[in-house]
Amino acid sequence: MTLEVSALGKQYTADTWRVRDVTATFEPGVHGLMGPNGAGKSTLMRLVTTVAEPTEGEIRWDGTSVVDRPATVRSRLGYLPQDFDTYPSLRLEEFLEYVAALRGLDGETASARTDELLELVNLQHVRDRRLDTFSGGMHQRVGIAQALLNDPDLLVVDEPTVGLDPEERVRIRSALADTAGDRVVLLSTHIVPDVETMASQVTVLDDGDPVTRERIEQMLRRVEGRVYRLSRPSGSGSYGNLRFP
Amino acid sequence: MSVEQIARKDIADTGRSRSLWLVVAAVVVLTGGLVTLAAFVTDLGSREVITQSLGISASLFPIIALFAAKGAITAERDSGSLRTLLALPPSRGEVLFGKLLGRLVVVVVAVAVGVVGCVVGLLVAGKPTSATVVAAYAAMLLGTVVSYTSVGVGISASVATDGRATGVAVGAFTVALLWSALVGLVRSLLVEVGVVSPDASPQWLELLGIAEPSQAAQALYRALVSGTPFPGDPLQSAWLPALVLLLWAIVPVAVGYRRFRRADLG
Repeated sequence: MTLEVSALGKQYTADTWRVRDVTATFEPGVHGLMGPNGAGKSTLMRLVTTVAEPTEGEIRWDGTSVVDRPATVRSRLGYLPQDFDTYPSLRLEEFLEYVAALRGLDGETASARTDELLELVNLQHVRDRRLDTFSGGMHQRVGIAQALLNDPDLLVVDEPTVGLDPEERVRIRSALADTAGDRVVLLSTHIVPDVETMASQVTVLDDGDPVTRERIEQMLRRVEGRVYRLSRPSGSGSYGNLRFP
Repeated sequence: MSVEQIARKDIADTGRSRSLWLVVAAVVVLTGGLVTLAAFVTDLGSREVITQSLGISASLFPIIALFAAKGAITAERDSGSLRTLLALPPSRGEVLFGKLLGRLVVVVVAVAVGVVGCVVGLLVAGKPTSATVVAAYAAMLLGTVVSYTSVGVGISASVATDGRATGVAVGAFTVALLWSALVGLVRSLLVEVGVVSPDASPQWLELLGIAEPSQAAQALYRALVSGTPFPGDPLQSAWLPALVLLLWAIVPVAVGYRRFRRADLG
């Protein structure tokens, strides 16, 4: 299982490239994609998941072109998009049944996977509840469950913990880490601890360009002594004119 | 298989959506309800009752069908669920045709219930009607709703947001509502500049008159109940309006698919 992207680019307007000249090979394991908002992480995710088409370059899944034959990757793909949304009027179980049917799972397999995944994301007690009654964190966990329904070889998760409280964040991290297994997992985030706890390798994007790609330990070593923790007593006002060396 | 699954969900959504129940109710009231009411409160015969109610149905069915269909793609695009859907195995074509099929089933079932209600209402009022008139009435209603559902889904597939789809759908309805007046205006202008003589009606202008789906559907009804549905003159025949309706059922969705196939979802 290998995902290869080469010289990948996505242009939106004449002078706006969201992603430019990205080349990388992703083997099984968790690969973090980091960068500030607008760096091109979500665009890269959409290209890989066939939701958008690249302007230039190639994406290959096990040697097959994803652009020419999107069905090849879609059948082996699990995707949690940024701002994941469901169908508010559906019950959780109905939603997962619908996704399973579109993934071509037979009833028995779908039912077994649903039970398994609802336990993994700790939502088995609300399987009969309508999705419009779910909190943001529960929604994200639904997103992870639907992405894992077909036991995908390629799992793409875009900002899975954004907007969640610390407890939910830990729960989502655990759910993802527990299922990483032998698949290729692309994890996009701008939250450093997400990558630190889950990813083995990290690619940093800035303004659509890949700035660096290395193992997480290497990156941590490289930035050692250059990371500052800033704290202030509550009620002590702003940070004022602090200067860093 | 995927088309069927997507259509099934769309149909099931109707059961959960108040606004789509409103669409079904409007179709039933404007067919069975209207005809039954007219049969009871007027002295008109069954055929005249149906003919009289056609105008109202032809005016309002376009907006009902457009309302039912215009959110087919854009509602999911706005909510973000379309990204999840498009990363699943079904192609964009299957998603679009599944949505179209789901909406069509809803409006066609509503029309079928309305027509049955109409027949029952006429029987209860003691004004039974011929099978030909009922079939022509059903064909006219189906022609209108199928065409405008296709237009609505085509709009939904072509634009980026539900708000924009609503705007374009309202524009399409306005054109439909004013179609006869617009064709009359064109004719008056052509008479004014001397291109058309005041007492002549060129065939192309007649054709333009039935180019709008609900006008074509009414022409189809007139041809079918005339007793000679396929005379030599195509403009009096059933096949020409049927062809116009068929084109309206296919072309907007084809145009929508063309745009949706390559659409960037941001």
